[in-house]
Amino acid sequence: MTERIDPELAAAIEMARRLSRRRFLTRAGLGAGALAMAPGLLTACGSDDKQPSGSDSSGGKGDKKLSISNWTAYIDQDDNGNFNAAGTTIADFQEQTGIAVTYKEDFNDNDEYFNKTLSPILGKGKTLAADIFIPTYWMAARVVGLDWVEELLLDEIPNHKNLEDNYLDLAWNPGATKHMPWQGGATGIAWNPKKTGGDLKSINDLYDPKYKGQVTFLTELRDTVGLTMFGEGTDPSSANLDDINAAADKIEKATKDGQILKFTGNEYLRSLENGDIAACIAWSGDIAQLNPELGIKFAIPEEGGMQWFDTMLVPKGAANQVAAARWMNFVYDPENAARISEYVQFMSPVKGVKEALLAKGGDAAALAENPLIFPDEQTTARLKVFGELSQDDEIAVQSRFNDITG
Amino acid sequence: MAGESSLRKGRKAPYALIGPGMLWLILFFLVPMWTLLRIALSEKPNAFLPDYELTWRWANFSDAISRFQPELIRSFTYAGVATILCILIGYPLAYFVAFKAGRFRALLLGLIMVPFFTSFLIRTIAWQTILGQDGPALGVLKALSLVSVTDAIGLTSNGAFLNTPQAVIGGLTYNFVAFMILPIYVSLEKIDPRLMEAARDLYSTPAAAFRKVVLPLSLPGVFAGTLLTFIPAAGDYINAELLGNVKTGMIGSQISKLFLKESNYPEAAALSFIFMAIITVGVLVYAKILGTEELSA
Amino acid sequence: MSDKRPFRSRILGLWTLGVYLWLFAPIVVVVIFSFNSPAGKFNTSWNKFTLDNWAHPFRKADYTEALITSLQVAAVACLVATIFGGLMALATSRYEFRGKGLVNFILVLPLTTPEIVMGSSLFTLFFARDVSFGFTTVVIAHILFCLSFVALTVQARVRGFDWSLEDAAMDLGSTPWRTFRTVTFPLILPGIAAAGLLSFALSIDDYIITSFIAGDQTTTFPMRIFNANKTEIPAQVHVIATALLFIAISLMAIGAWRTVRRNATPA
Repeated sequence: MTERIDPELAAAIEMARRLSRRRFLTRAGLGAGALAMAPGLLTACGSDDKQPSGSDSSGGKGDKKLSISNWTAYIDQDDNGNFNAAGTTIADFQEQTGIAVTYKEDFNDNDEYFNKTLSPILGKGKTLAADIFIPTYWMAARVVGLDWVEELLLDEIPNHKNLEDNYLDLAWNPGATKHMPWQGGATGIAWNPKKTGGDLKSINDLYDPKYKGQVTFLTELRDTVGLTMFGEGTDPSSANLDDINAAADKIEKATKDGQILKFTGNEYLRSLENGDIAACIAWSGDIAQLNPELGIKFAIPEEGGMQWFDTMLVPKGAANQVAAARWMNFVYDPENAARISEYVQFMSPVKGVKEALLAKGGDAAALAENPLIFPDEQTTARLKVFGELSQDDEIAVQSRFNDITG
Repeated sequence: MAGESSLRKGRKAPYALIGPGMLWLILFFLVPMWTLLRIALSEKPNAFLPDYELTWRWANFSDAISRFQPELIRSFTYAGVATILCILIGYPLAYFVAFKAGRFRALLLGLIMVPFFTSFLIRTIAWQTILGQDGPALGVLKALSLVSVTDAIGLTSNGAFLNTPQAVIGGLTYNFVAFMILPIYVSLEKIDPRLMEAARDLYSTPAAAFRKVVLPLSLPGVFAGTLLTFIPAAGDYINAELLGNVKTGMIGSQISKLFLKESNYPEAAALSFIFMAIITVGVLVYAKILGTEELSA
Repeated sequence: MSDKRPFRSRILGLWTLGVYLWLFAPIVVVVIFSFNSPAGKFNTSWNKFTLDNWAHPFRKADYTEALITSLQVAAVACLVATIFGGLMALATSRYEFRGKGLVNFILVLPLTTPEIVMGSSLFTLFFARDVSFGFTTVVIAHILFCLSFVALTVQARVRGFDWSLEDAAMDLGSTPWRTFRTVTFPLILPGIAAAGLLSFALSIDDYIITSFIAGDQTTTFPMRIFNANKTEIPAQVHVIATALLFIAISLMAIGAWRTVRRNATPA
């Protein structure tokens, strides 16, 4: 409006200069000033506790509702991606039990879920919104060790008898009274034959300079380090720190050399599909789920592969423990477990799934013969679970690994 | 001067107006910063439990610096390059919109904002499609056999766009360029046309007129744009994660890893403060340089 | 303007055109891929044309739910931030008062704080004070980072206004409220509208801060995409993105048209 009508250039420039410098000064103090001011201002305000709409933990024996936090693409859904469309596991469960299920695919990463959700909530003695969450075995062991879970209401779970025997003698929870495995799987190598030109056999093929910059590894410590240990001829189940560090050295060098392009979670799938990488460390079920037309191949390396499982836990103080138990019972029915297996194509921890699939015939029966879903004894013999680390070792190894993965 | 009745002379009114906003800033910005600082000087007796103790452990800071030096340097380098690219790309555009666009001015200005109504993640995923090994960008280069040329000039690495430092910097530039364009545009738009006329009369070449008049008057816009571009770019890690490789990790992902992977809140907090301190110093230096340049102009 | 159209000016025009093409390249991809029927789970490489995605834009219930959450957060955050920020801008640009410099300084601070630091500091605050993470914490954070943008945008717009118009109105016997309604508010309205739009866009797009403080019950649209993009990118994401884009463009077109009309009729 009325500003700067003075046509005298020098004056205008001078004015602009002063103006902008003054603005520089107001903006320049930044962080340091904030720190200096904070203490005084802090006294002005007290604690701002707010109790949100979190679930009320009275009794915890709720049997009308159930909330589940799971990984993505880990249960059957219809073509539209609805988990509770007619004919799905969740829909049938709701129909048979009258329990309303809230199913969320919000479990992305064991550590993230631990630090964003479990530690701030359970660690403070509050209750989680979820009645069931499904971490990987080593995280489950940690959470059970911290006593942040409820004992399962086994009376409500007669199908607990269908749990495969090898899950019953785990050191951290003998008899599996606090957890029930959801799915198991193997970690091996996957490749795109169009990019590699041939089949891979050994974990060390991923270290072949031929594929420099076209290989991804997993951000999951136990899978990446474990497989590399196999390649080095050491035993990942021993949890020997020297062996672990030797494997980490090898991974670090490959990273520096540009051999390894990236460390990823499930997103290696997209890179494989799009042809951005030639080969990677991968999870068995992920590859089994892929469209066969894409031609992606998977194998347990000849030296051996990592075995793992994700398992259902009921967090301390969960509101709907009865509903949780009924859910577990439902998915441990071989027929129901078979339907989930058919979709997710990992290794089911439920006895009788193979028979149930064979009885279904057709595509389902073909799955029963798939060695990635029902590994034969030879394959099983080559699979190992990563050894248990003490808390201090785990933190040390994890932070070294984080430095390597960038 | 209008006496008693002037709205501008109220005593209590301004405090009432700033009240709610200030309360918000104090409660949810200054107080959390204070909490973060306390945690930066604390220790966690047990990494897995959410409790920490204030032990004045300054080593959190030195640990963080020695461990994350490469990522710190990288973050500032990438953000710096991206900011310069934003100026180079954004300034001419802002100039065009402010002075040459005529009646299309409002339209062109609006168009700058349009892409930003699609989610930042979706846009970045779209860049993955464009830049991928089998994507259109590389397809064109391959068809023209130009890959070795782009490799040589540093546009691609080993014949790839995606998963390179170049892609990360490109992504940062793309995602923050609007924050450069808009402040520059605002400062250019405010220049009095009569001033420009006078400048054209006074100086022999348009370039000289631009250098002596328009540029100095638009520097506040460039400065504001630089802050709004550089700071978020330096703290961003989504671009590095989606478009980069293992060697392009930035400081944001390290802070988030410390928090979320290693449960090491104290070191994460310390690293956050180091990062902000460097930014503060950088901004001061930048302000100084820009200020003195103006003096000599 | 001189009549010879300078070469320089044409270069500038071409440059501008190039930048716009670059700005819109990924948008074009998003729109095109909303018509793709992907071969695998990722709608990121072209397979074949389909209208199916558009026939069922809300087929993926999770994404729809997350979008609704995002819209709710953005609506509340945008409204509150615009009011609070607008009032602050009014105070700092219209009044002289003690502590104004400090207020301006604190206002700028959040803009100079990297998102990751703001996210982690809010996380530690809520965490240390036992506040449960969820919708409320997300809204609080969004209001916070929108607030400064709003205040500074409005400030920039009203800088240089002739506030003595208010005095004139008062002198003519207008009440303070009436003066605000008839003089002040119309003056600051364009700035407020621009700031509101900006904060809506900022809010609906935020991932980093939100991901720190959303807790286990609240999922916004960007969070949903980021979480899912590892295992799937359904075409519905592209459809929703395209639709949002279309709505934004329409709103802008209406705004532009109204400006043109206003300019056409003599004031």
